[in-house]
Amino acid sequence: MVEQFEKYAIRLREQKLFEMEKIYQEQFPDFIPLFQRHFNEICENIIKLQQANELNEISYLEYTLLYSNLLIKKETAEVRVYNEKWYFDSRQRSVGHFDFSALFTKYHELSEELMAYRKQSAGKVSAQEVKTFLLSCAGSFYSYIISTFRFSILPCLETEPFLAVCRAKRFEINVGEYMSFTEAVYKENRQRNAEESLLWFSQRQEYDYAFEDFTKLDFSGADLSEIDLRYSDLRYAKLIGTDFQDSMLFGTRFCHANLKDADLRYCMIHEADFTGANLTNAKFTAAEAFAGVPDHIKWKITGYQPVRFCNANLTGADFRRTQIRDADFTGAVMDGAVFSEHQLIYFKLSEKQRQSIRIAGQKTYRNEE
Amino acid sequence: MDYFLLRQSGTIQIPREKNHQAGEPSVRIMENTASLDKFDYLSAEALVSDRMKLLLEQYLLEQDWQPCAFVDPQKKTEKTFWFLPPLSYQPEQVTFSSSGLPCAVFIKEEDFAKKSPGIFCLKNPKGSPFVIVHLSVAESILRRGYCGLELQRI
Repeated sequence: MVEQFEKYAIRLREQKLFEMEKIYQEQFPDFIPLFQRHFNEICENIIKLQQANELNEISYLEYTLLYSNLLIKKETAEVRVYNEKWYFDSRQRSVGHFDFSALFTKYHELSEELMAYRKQSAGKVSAQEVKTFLLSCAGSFYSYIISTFRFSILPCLETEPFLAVCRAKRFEINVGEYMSFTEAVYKENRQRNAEESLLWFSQRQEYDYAFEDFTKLDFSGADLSEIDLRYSDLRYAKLIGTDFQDSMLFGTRFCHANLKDADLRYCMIHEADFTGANLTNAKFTAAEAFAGVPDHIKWKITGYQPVRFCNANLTGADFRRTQIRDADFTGAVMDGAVFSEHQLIYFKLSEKQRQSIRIAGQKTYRNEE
Repeated sequence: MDYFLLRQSGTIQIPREKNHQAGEPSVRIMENTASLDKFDYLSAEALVSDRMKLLLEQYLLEQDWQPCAFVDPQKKTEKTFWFLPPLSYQPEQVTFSSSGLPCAVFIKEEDFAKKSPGIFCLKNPKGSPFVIVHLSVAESILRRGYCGLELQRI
């Protein structure tokens, strides 16, 4: 590829990815039903196959981006199921296709604009070279499918038809590429217990706990400071007084967990999910959570979604000196939650919530003034 | 079907070596070796580029690869390709279309990921053998942006 064309192509790719980022940040809720509907259909299909004895219990369910499909302009992920042998399962089978073209509009535009620009290069760049470049970009655009899927799937996991799918004791849902980079958006391990998990945590591994299933386990009072629990699943866990100080909690799922008196000071909680959690008297002092991407110079990964405190109980929680931006506090109870006055502009609180919080340095509740 | 026919895309004339013995290296004189840069697969003699060999040898363990060097003495340039090693595995059944191209292969279930490698060759009565690759190899090739080849699902 000639240098001038390559520079143009790279610049255009960055531009389109940042445009995709904007769509992802602004229209994310619109895409959720698309994913959830499809996932439920896939589960129904699996159940039918299992009832007809055509499929045994499954260990892996994957939404796979196939470059060979993109080559023939099919913007569909193949959904495959595997037994415990994963890719070595000789009976691995496709159970459906997911049309992600609605989220690939920017990839389309990149393709069309590059092909049009190629015509100006008077044959110096072949169509094949452009196609090769486009394929090299597909994974970055697909990362938005992965992220959207990750945030859409949770409600489906607690309801039928998913619960009726016959799954192995260890089960994963992955989204990614075939026999290559895949992200486990959900892992299930019904054999795990708190004691063994704490032993594992004591090793303080980096990223090893991501998407691992620690749901409903009791880690109350445990020292989990300086741990990397990015994207771990701690839904419904008992975490009373647990020390998470200085931990990496990006995307950690704390939905409906009991985090009463938990210490989350100095934690990074970008896109963590505290929906429905009990965070009474939890300490968030100096915690950080940002949404979006840090800059628009070079695209690296999908931007963060806002941290969620929807319907959480934040009574008495301490938010002083936090750097939390764009957090979603919809429906959260915030009686006596402590904030610094200067940072209130960063929190979108309802009038009722504003009336119930406490400002650091002021002795009384606002609604008592 | 999870198998693809690997084909060369685009045309290029490469010098042949008379009486070349299979399993032996080869050195050939060629003008403008830079024209080979646009190819990672040359179907005439099932040659793969250096970078594509790096990938394929992950699927073909303990195989003996022989080089085929194209040398331009005037410009003092050289480009090395590699002969695809002889691959003995044959699928249980192969179906050919009316055009003579393979359109379906059937692999025994017990052979999958064991005896059956990710790559194998089918005899072609009209010329160089057909190279068939599994989906995993096809996807790896496409991800890496190799050029001068195409993959046709069979």
